[in-house]
Amino acid sequence: MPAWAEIQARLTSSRYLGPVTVALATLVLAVNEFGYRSLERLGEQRAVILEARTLSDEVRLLTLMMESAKRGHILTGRAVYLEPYDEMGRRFEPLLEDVLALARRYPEQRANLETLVEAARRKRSEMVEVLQRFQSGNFEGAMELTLTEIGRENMVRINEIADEIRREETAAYLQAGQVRQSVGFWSRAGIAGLVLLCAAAVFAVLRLGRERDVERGRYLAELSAERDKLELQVDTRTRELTDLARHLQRVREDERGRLARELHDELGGLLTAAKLDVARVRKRVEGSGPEVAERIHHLGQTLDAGIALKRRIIEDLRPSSLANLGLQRTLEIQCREFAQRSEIPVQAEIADLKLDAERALAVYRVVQEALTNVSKYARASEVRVRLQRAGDLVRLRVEDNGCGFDPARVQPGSHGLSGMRFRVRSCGGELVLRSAPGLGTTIEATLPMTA
Amino acid sequence: MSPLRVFIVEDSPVIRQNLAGALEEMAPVRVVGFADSAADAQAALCGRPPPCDLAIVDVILREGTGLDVLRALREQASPVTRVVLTNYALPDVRTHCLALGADRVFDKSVDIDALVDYCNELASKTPDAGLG
Repeated sequence: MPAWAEIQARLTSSRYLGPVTVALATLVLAVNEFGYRSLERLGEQRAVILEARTLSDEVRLLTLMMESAKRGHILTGRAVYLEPYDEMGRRFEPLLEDVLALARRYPEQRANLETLVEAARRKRSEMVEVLQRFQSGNFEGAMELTLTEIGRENMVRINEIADEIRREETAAYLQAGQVRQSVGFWSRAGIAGLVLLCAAAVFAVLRLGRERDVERGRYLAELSAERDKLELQVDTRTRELTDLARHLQRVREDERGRLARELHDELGGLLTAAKLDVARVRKRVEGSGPEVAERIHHLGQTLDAGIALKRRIIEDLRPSSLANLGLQRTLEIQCREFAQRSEIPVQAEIADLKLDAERALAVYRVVQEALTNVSKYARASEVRVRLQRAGDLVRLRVEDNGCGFDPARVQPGSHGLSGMRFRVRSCGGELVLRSAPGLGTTIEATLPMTA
Repeated sequence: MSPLRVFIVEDSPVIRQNLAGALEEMAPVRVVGFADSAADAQAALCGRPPPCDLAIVDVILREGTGLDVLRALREQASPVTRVVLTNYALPDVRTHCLALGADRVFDKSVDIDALVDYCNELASKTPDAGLG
């Protein structure tokens, strides 16, 4: 039944259904209205016909009664017969006026009605003439007039017209019945069609709603799938970026390590060799005068300064003490050296925790970066560094009492913050920064003890 | 006075050459040998009789560490005097080395003069050093 289904779908599709329904509703309305008008017109017509029939019957009756009274009077000569004749005669002319008035309102029967009035008047004038002749004693004249066909013809004429009007009235009644039936049929058919169409419309609307639901469901599903895909893509990209950043961090650490090793081995060797040479030269030039001795001494001092600088650079590049001394001692040394260098007292409270190399380095680098920030920006008079264990977590806190800043107004990438944060995150931890203008700065890193 | 026999365990050729030259010039010592890895040093130093009076040992070597060398000499109860000359003269390293039988720990950068003085002192305390 695919063809039927398609036709049904097309018929019930919103594009056709609306106009068809409206057209049919209009048609039903028109049929009803037309039917109503027809019946109303038929009703009016029938009322007129009914009136015409009543009037024509009355004319006939009156005429017959007058004729009967006239005959009674003529046959008996008694005056008593004339009473009804006179009474009818008084009613006769107003009745004919009514008939004429009706004739003016009723063009279809005008001719008939006027003929009727004319026939009735002639009949009456005949009766008046006969009675005059009879009362004036001219019996023969009266009889002669009576025996002529004039009276009978007029009577027949009146009868014919009355019958015709009656026939027409019956025909109109039948016709009205037919029209009523036809109007009833078309109204019924139209209403039935309309109801069917309405049912179809309801069906179509429901169907449309269902289709829209299905469509909407599909759309939402697609949207959801698209979002999932995007999320997956973001996850993948984030993972890739994280991997890349971790890789770069490792490369950077490796590079720093290589540089530190080179500085240590090569530059360290050269400086030691120079120191040895200075010692040898000093011995050889003993007694050559204070100027030479002073230059030699100065050269030794310069070399020592160079050696100290090299050491600091190497420690910054790769804290060898982390591997040699462990985290606690390294941080204590770091804090002490910072205090000496920056002349800001550092209160260090470092627990002896056993962390793997990556975590130890992360803690070391966070402290390093935080202290660098303190010396660069904080204008602090005291720094506290605290490393402690809290269950399975390591908590590192570096706080100063310096000028602080508004974290919202600082670029996220500045002050090495993102670097610190990334380092801590890549160890599975979290870094929180708290600061406000005039209230110092606190950096707190929390990371798991083990991977 | 016989010169003090010195064995240098050091992986940097520059330092090796300069150290040997400087010591021989400034103290009554004779450098009798070098090694740049822990294994070579142990092989050379653990022979009987010992090839030297004084071993100057660096901590970081081409392979292994000076600590391994110190440990081996202690296990052998070697009569050789051992000192450490290192760039890592941090307190911990120092303690560790002394615990492993090193007589002294010198910093390569700042204790050169002290090392020369030490050699002179040791040579004077060991009159027949050259006869072993």
